[in-house]
Amino acid sequence: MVRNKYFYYLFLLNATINLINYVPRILITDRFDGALMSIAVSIPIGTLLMFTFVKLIQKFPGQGLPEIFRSVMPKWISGVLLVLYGFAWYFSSVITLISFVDITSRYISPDVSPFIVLSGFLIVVALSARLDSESILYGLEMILYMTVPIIAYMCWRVFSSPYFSWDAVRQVITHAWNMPNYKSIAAATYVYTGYINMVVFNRIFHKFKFRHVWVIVVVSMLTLLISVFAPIGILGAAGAGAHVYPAFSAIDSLRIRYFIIERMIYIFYVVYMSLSLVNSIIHWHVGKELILGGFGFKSDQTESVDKKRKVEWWVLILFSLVVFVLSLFINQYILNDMAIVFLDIRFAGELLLIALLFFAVWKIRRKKA
Amino acid sequence: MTRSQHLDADRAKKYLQEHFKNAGDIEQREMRNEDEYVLLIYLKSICDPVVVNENLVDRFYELKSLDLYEQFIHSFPSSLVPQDEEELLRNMLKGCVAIFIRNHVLLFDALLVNAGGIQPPSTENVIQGPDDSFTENIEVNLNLIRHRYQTANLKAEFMTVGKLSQTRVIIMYDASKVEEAVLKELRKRLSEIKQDIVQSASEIEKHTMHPRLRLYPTLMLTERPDRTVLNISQGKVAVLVDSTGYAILLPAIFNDFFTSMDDKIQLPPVGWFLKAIRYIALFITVLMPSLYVAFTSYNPEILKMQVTLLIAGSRATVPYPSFFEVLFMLLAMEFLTEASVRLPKAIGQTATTVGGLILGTAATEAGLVSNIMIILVSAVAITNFVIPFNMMSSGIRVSKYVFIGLATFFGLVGIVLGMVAMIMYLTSLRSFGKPYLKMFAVDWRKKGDHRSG
Repeated sequence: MVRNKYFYYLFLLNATINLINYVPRILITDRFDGALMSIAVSIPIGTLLMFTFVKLIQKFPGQGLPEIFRSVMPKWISGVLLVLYGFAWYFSSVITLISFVDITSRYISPDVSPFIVLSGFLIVVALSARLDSESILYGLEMILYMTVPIIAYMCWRVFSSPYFSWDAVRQVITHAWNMPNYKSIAAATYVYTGYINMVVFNRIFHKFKFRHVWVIVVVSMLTLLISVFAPIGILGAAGAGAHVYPAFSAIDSLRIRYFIIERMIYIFYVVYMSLSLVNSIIHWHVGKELILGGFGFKSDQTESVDKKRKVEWWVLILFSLVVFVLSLFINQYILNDMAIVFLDIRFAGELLLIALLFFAVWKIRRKKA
Repeated sequence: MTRSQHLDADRAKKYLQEHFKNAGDIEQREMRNEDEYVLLIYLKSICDPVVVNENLVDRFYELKSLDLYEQFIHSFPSSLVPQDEEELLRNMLKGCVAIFIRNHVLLFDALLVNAGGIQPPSTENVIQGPDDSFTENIEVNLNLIRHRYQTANLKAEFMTVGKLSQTRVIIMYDASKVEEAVLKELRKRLSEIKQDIVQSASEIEKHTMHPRLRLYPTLMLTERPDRTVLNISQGKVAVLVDSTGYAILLPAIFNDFFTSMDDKIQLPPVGWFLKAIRYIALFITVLMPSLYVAFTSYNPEILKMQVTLLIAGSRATVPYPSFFEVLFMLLAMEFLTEASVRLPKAIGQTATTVGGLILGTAATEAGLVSNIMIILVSAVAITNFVIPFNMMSSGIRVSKYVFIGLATFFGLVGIVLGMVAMIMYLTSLRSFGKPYLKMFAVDWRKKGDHRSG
């Protein structure tokens, strides 16, 4: 059983990882066409979604999505839904992993084959995803405490840099009144998506309560503004659109004067690599649990746990193979399109999930009455 | 007579003679006083002759009647009336004297324990603080703890483990603070030990914890009574094992292995500083060699220009890749450490002098390793011994090679991979249901599922 704070960690992880999943890039592409308004709109939407979801999941203490769906739906519908949600959630980590391998061969070790790097990633992610939910949360907490202070330091360095152009930021702000669009809203709400992990982690939360909503609002707003304006300020209002990874390019312009490491990019890289790995571990864990739940494996009886542990391997091997095969022919264009498609689908899927949970609550209430 | 006896004295005598046929240290002593007759049989080697003489021999001639003598023996709480031959034999092997009075057989405990006196601890030294450590005698150890923790809540449960060695084990805990689940689990695991011989506390560690293949200890072995008492007062369980100078403390989490008794003795800020030093040392000893490999072979551009040139210049004469250089030097250091443990004290100096010379100057002058490497190896060696527990520092010692391997194949990426994997591995470990690695683990008593660990 874990305490409430781990919910905030799950949110924080997704909020920080948005740089890797093409959120800033999509927003920066639309910087003159309503990105700011989309951000403004997405803050209430995202908070509301999260709030509703949390209120709904609180009705099912100690239950994951598989248990909830199973109790209110026919077996095959819940099976199909769970497998679909599992794969969708896993797909988010595919984007993270492949884009991070791309970043690695672009910025850090161009002389190491990307497939070797990818297999390293996959081994760590697949093995760690098998751990129990509680251990994964402890690991997440540890890594967040190590990385978030460094991220804060880097943000401070970006905004205090003498080369940071506030004029570029002002220029973008003049376009703030343009109409928002679905794509940008879908991208911006990604910051809030961490709560979806609760579909599995809710099993181990003890008397889960959701307080301090304002913390979530403030942190998400800061995250979005920083991930949009930091590249714009450093790379210029027009120039920011020309980069595949605006955050990495912006950070690469920073220099640390009083340390043995000179370029900030390496610290940034190490931080974001740890976060991407943990993010993938969590998404694989959730995806795996949902898919296994979809096929009717339960995690509370001893004899079925042994069987589940065996089938688990096959799911994880399948996950790894898919990533490996995809990485063979995915280039940056496809990856970017994939990210957009994923973010769009994800937003719709979240709305559907909340509708399904409403249905579940309604059904259970009727059963009781 | 309090207990009726079914054991026939003559048969028992014959049984003993048969079983102790070739045992040279068996002693039979016949005592006659007019027409009264008593026979003592015991193992000379484990019975205290003073106890036997004072209580059994002298009394026999002093007391007026045989009945009185028998009552006198019964008055000792440790004396027994064996019900069959088996029980008689087993207790004699534990240090009891068999007394044959008429057709009764009695057992009298006269165990002699040869153990060294209380000595200063050899592996967990502190600067200021008590200078006694556990001895090989379990009774003395019990005394050391009882003396420091004076409450009736301190419970001591006796058990034996090992089919042949019958090693005595005492489970000690504060009944008002301990968690019942931990205690129950411990009793279960101790009773499951199937080994014939259990000689040391670490063997119990090995047989009770799973998974078997672990790199880091999940039970704490300590030789300090003050640490044992501190941990008992924090709600942990201590297991004393006879004939070893160590106690086992459980559950033990990662942070416990970085705590020295010094931290409590020093002023609080100094204590925090010392602890911080140990964690910094952990990072240095694990990461330094692998970072060197990554920085010289994969990403020299990460470091400042001057540092990169310095390393490259220092490595100019070195004829092989950096990972080989690191392995070469680290292995030399490990050999030196191992050798100085095994060498007799008189020769011990030689190893360090020769090793220091070879590692220090000769290797660099010959151009086999770089100067920076020497600094690095010494930093790694020193920081490794900052960790106060030997079992933990050995685990750390091994894990740095894993990191070197990762750095050799993946460069900086490998090190980050290794760090994430190590954090995940450590958080997945459990010590009697307690999460092993966790932020803010101080309030560990409140939560945690009781999974195996």
